Amino acid sequence: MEYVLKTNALSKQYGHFKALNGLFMNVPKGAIYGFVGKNGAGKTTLIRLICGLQAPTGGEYFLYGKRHTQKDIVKSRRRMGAVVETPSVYMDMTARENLRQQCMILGCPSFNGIDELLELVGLSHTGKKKAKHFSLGMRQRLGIAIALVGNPDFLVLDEPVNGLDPQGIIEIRELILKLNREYQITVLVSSHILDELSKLATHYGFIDQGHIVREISAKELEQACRKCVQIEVSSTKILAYVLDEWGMEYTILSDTKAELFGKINVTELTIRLAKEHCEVKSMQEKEESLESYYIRLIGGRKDE
Amino acid sequence: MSKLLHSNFERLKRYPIFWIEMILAIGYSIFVCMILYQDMIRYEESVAMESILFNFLVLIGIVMAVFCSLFIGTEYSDGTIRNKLIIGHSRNNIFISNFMLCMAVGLLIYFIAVVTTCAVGIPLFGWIQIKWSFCLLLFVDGALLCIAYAAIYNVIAMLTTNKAHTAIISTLVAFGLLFVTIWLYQSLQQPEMMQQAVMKGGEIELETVRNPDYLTGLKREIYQFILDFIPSGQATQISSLEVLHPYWMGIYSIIIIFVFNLIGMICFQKKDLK
Repeated sequence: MEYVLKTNALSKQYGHFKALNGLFMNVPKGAIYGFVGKNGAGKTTLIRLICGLQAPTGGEYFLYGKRHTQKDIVKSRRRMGAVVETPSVYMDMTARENLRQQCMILGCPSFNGIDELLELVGLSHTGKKKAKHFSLGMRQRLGIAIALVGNPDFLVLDEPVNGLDPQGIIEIRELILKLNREYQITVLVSSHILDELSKLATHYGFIDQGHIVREISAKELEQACRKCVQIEVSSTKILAYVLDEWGMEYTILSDTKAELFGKINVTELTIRLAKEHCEVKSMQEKEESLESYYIRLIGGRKDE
Repeated sequence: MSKLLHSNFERLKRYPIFWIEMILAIGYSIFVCMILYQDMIRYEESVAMESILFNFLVLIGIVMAVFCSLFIGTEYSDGTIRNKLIIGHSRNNIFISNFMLCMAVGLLIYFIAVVTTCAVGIPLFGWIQIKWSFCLLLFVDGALLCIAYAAIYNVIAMLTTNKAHTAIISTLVAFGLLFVTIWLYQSLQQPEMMQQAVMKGGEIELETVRNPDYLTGLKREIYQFILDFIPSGQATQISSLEVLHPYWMGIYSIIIIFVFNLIGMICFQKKDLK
């Protein structure tokens, strides 16, 4: 699999405080990578490092296979755009002027494409209105448009829906999905709003206290979170024998616990297990959401 | 670098503060000529053209402090410096391109002020009477001190990530240099001898005595060195045509430009940006 971004034991220390502590991360090409963590977990710090705003104190990262200390990482940086924390726009310029500025900074041969970009982010009607008079959602979209100048294929968005109203959130989400599906842009989105990410991400990275707790694809997460019956019995060996007979899908968790998937006839199961001298101690339905998965993941770490 | 310069100059065209300062330079030059012409007519005194030629240099420090702090400070307040770094421009290139812009603006404003003074002053007061070579030397010294100011204020702006703080620090530096210059200049201008009234035989007589405030020896040399070294001191000497060491002043400006840029680039390279 090709990776746009890889980090190896990436660390960043401010004085005695470790914002990032040996972080390992892999962003596959073509993914929408949802970067999840609570406030202060290290999301923005990581984004600052990979955008070149700050230097790591330890470890390394690779952008399109180029190590961060290599001189030709400039070529990799040309392929990325980012909105870090707040959108970087000149407040005294219009949307068009801001995009022209970015074109000049990039050294684009012409200003063709600006109209299409404004159309893409829904700002083609702004005319001579200066960015300081834009709403937060409009500035956010302008920030994304600026990041898209030069046709990058890797977009980094740091909490892009912060402070937006529901309409604004939907617009940003649809824009990100469009960019990924129609333009094949790899997107790294950081957020602490799980519900929003669950509608977007194809891959997840859960960060806590400066390092990645788990990386998982959306498919794997779906598998992990699907509806099941958690059963506690006196012997899971006997349970497995019975379930195999019936052709039911299950997962053995321990000598006494298992998860059963699919429709279960509780009465029949209990009678069948009793015949094999296997006691059923407890049964409960379980369905995990991204939120509960996250809480379990981070909560579990606190107990370690 | 050329891309950064292109974008900076494009932004400059639309920057109101730049145009206000250009108008200020022209307006001030015309105003000084008019006031002196009025005095010349009223008091039947002659005014030497060269005495007003570099008048605007005294204000150039404040003008550049305002411009540099606000123009470069916007890069931090609006966060747009991030756009340059994210796409791969090196920190040194960003630093130098900002310095070059400040330098260009300083030189442009200085040049406009001198040209306006000549355009208005020569018809009123006649041609420049001093040697052209000396005049040219002073002009070059004036240009170098503008570039030295650009180096100083660029460093302040690039290392201070808050626009308001940058404006305050730059203005304080500008006025601080000005006050130091005034103090040094006044100290050095003290006459060696002075008239003192003494009582002799019940009558008051005037006696010529040594001025205790007159600086001599090493102290005088140090004061003069500082006045020659700091840009505001150079500006005062050039505008009043009381230049003792014109070649050394140029060298001092070059040293300031080099040292400030070097220190600035090193510090900016290590700076963590948000």
